[in-house]
Amino acid sequence: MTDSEIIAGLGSADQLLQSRAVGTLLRQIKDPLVHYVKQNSGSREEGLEMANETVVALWKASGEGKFELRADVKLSSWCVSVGRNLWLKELRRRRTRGGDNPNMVAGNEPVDGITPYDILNTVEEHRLVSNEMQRAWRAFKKLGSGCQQLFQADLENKPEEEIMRQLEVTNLGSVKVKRHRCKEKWIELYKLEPRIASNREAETVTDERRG
Amino acid sequence: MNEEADITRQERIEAYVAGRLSEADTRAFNALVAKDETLRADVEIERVLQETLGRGSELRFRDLVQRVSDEQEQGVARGGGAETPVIPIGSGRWRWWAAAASVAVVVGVGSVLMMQGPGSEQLALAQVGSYTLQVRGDTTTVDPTAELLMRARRLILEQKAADAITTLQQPLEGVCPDAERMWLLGVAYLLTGDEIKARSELERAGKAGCSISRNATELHDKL
Repeated sequence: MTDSEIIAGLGSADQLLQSRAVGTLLRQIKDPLVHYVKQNSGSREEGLEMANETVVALWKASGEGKFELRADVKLSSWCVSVGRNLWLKELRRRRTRGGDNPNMVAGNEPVDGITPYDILNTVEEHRLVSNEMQRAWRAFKKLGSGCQQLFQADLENKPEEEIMRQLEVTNLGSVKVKRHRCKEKWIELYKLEPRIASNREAETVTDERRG
Repeated sequence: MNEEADITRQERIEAYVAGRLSEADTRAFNALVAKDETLRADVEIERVLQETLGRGSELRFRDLVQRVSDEQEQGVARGGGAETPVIPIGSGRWRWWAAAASVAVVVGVGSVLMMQGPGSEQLALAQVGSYTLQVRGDTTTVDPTAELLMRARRLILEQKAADAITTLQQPLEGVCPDAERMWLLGVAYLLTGDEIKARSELERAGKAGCSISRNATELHDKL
């Protein structure tokens, strides 16, 4: 796959194409990122995690029109640079919390003087997923498709009349009741989901609690 | 508390978290949150849920990335080396589909058999599964028609027939691609219980004179 095909694949609505694009890109960036992370106080697993986060960051930047392929920069080179900066940002975050340098603002400073702005910007805007959100997402996936569609429709601000038709109900009151029951179910499932805290996730949760 | 009161309370929490309350209502709600621990906990949960929903498409994509990454790692663990492709580019599409479709057909047909006994739905799913296994000709060039039909087949095999119906509404260029669309549409209608529309689509696909017409006629006759 060429770089432009990878970008097109990442943005495709077809999961098969997306999987191919993700697989191709991961194969290109995984080894250099794992090597870099291991050279910089990290593990292989953390290197793999940075590779995954990089693909997500690219997908997001590309979807928001904040990424443009350039003829003089290979996509894999761009991604490896993003991945390295994500890892350095993570290390700074850990150091800051550890008290090594309490004045440091995690993730906001350039890695070096030559890191291009678009990479810094992508790294800066990239947000990790907290443990709580992962729990909520796992619970969401356990909901029935009707509830998932209803929440999706709400998110897209679909008119209540359209939601009524979608749910095949004849009055707005039924939509309200359905929405409420779906929400209750989601909350119930969320509470049942165990907290599976990796090193990074646990720290993220701690951060959130600190506000 | 009755359900109506529960609904009102939940809607108020949702509006508060989403920032839809007026300034005065927000102040009043803040005061309630400050003194009611249960309400505070419910607000926190609502925050997590709203943020999760807001990042739903990203979370879906993250799942896909994780899955592909895990599969690559499993390939390494099995001794395939880091270069073992998860989804081979050359002839990979049909292999991927073979694996996916086999699972889907087994699960799908099994479910239908358990629920209803062998019948037209079983035949429909078997046809789609079998046809999917025959699909070859993977290229890196994306054909929008082939892509649409592939997506529809997948939706059917994943038991998302209603979504497949939506996908297949527009006629396609070319007699045989359109015949395939009508056959799949017939299958999807059949799986959603709309036998009248299923018959109509299958009949039209059967008369198209394409290779897929045989499937359509066979299924039509079964109804």
